Amino acid sequence: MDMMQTGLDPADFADSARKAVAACLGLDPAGCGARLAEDGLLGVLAPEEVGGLGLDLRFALPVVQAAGAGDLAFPLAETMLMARHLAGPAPAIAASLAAGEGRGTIAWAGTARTELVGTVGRAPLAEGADWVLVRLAHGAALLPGSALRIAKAIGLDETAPEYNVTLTGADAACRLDAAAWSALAEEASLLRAAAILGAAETSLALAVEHVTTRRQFGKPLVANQAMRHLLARQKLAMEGMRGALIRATGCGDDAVGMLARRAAFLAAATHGPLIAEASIQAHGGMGFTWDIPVHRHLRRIRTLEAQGEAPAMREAVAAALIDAN
Amino acid sequence: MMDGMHHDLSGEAFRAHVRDWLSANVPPGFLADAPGYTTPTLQQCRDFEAAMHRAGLAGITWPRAYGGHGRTLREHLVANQEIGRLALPESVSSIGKELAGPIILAIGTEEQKQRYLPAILEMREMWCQGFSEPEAGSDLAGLRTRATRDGAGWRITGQKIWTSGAAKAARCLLLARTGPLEDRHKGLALFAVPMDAPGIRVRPIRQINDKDGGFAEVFLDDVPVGPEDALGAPDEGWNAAIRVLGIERATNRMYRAWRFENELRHLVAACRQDPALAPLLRDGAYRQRIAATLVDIEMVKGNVEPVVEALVAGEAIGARGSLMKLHWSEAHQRFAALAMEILGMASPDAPPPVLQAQKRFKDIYLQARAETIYAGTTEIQLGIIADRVLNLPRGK
Repeated sequence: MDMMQTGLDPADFADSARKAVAACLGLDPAGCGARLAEDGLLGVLAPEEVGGLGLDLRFALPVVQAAGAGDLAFPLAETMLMARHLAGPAPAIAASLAAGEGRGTIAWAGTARTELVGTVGRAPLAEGADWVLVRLAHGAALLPGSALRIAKAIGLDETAPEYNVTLTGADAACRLDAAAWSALAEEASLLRAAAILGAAETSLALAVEHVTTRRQFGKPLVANQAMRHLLARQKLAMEGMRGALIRATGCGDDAVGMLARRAAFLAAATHGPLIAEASIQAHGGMGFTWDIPVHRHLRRIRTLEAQGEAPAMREAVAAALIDAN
Repeated sequence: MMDGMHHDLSGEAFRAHVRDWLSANVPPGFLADAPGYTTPTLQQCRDFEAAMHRAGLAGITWPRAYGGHGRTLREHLVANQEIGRLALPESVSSIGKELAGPIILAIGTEEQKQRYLPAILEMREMWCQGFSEPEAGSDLAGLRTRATRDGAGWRITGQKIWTSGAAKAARCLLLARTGPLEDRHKGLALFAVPMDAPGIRVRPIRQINDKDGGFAEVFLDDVPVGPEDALGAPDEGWNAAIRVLGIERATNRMYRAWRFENELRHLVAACRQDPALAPLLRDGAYRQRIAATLVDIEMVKGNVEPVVEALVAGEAIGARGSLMKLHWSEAHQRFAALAMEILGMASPDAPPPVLQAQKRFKDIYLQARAETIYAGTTEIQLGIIADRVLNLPRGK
């Protein structure tokens, strides 16, 4: 479905997403889910049969970007993707996810064995989740949260902490085949790029605010060229990330598009952490305090980078160039 | 297809025309990544660029009335993508095509447009750039070259430096001061100075890459310039030129991302030819760095393509040219260093394709030193981004 058919513009979603994310501040994941569902944000990608809007990925990107910018305590990208990809095999579950009633998440790291045993990791906010999607050697399986042992992992993100998930041999509610999983994973990496972009934008905005108001040696910090150039470099990297993401959304389903989509994530995974780190640096000692929220964005960005397996993605990019020729 | 028939093409048909024309018309030995490469002579480059223009591959967006092809910026991008895919030499007339031409289009009189523009595209006249001076590099407030009234015309006296291609140029796009030095940025005027005018002396400067036709100093001693060669009134011409250059920085050499990709593919292909280098292509650390280069290239493309759409949509692009130029030039330097590191491990008896790659990447590595200096240094670009993209206050 495109803009001509729907009369919708992805930019329209940015504004309502920002407001909804702001309204989620202080809510628990269940409360966030209900609030986001009110605006239809969980079902942006889900087909209309399960109560979704049936829109393409371009409409989800500004929503996830706003979630990254606002350090949202909810597995938004995971829920959106599950509501879309479970609509075929498990429509009732997809509908409950899109409606913000059921809670789902995805374990991004590791592969469970086909007989549904083993431990997988990097499942954001898995505690109390009704459904967890885990990767198998071929495809993925959806398991009820009640049938899993869920333990908090050592991770950076405190707002959306990651959990390790141990399977106990319980039956899957449904399975996704390898093609469905790889489509989901590819969409996830573009959504991660958008989330990292949002978090990096907030980090840099906080740094700009700090250096323009904080005075040292009788003048604002921003009067120093070292500080201006530090921030200019972060802006340069951020606009490069944004350009790569915009370009990727306009590319086709061929090898050129595949490279563009991988590069959009890798650009974000490469530069996003550095922008947040530089933003902490620009804050001086205050940047090392809990109260200055840049560290939250850095934690989120580094976690998204790991969930997206950036080194493996780089290897895939290199392989497509070197081994294919 | 006969020259001149390409005007009816659009979109993918135009891309096919560009691709077909290049594959049929690039002279033997012209491509730096193909067997039999020899550095093209100046005359060969002029002939080829003139043929490119006749085939619709240069002057793409310039009006047809002045020898251009009147095409859209999207088509300009399409042609650049195809040109970039091939290891062609850089234009020997870039100052005319990328600097003087667009400025004349914006501020020249009708007569000046007719006189200068077709001659640039047809490669009859090459231009050089006379902005920088020993006392005025990035900061033109210190410009000392003076233009004084002489009847209806002018007399120009002073000294220019870093004037690439001055010896081969027919004209110099020259910036001079019409008032006192204290006026700083006021009273600056642009001229199209004929390089064969009396009182002009050119002294070549040897460059780090020993390239022929490179840097020169230009000395001007009471050089007469007619009123027909003044580009706009004092202030007017230069102020308009600054606006033009902001757009030009974002739209010229759009092929760079695709040429960059061509260079990376050449490096990988060369490695396969040498038993000492082939294992590096299986080395995880080098694969990560090669992937990082590809991501850089995709980011360069991501900087270029949205700018075309923004300009087509009539948006102001502001200082986005600074973002493009800065990211490309630094990414290209990183890649050039990687290429030197890898090719430095080649076998002593490496086969000819590897020697050819070593020669190309040595040139690229040295040339890349200039890329973060010319057209506004990295430090100047960072200042522009801070001032005009981030809109940081001065902080007094």
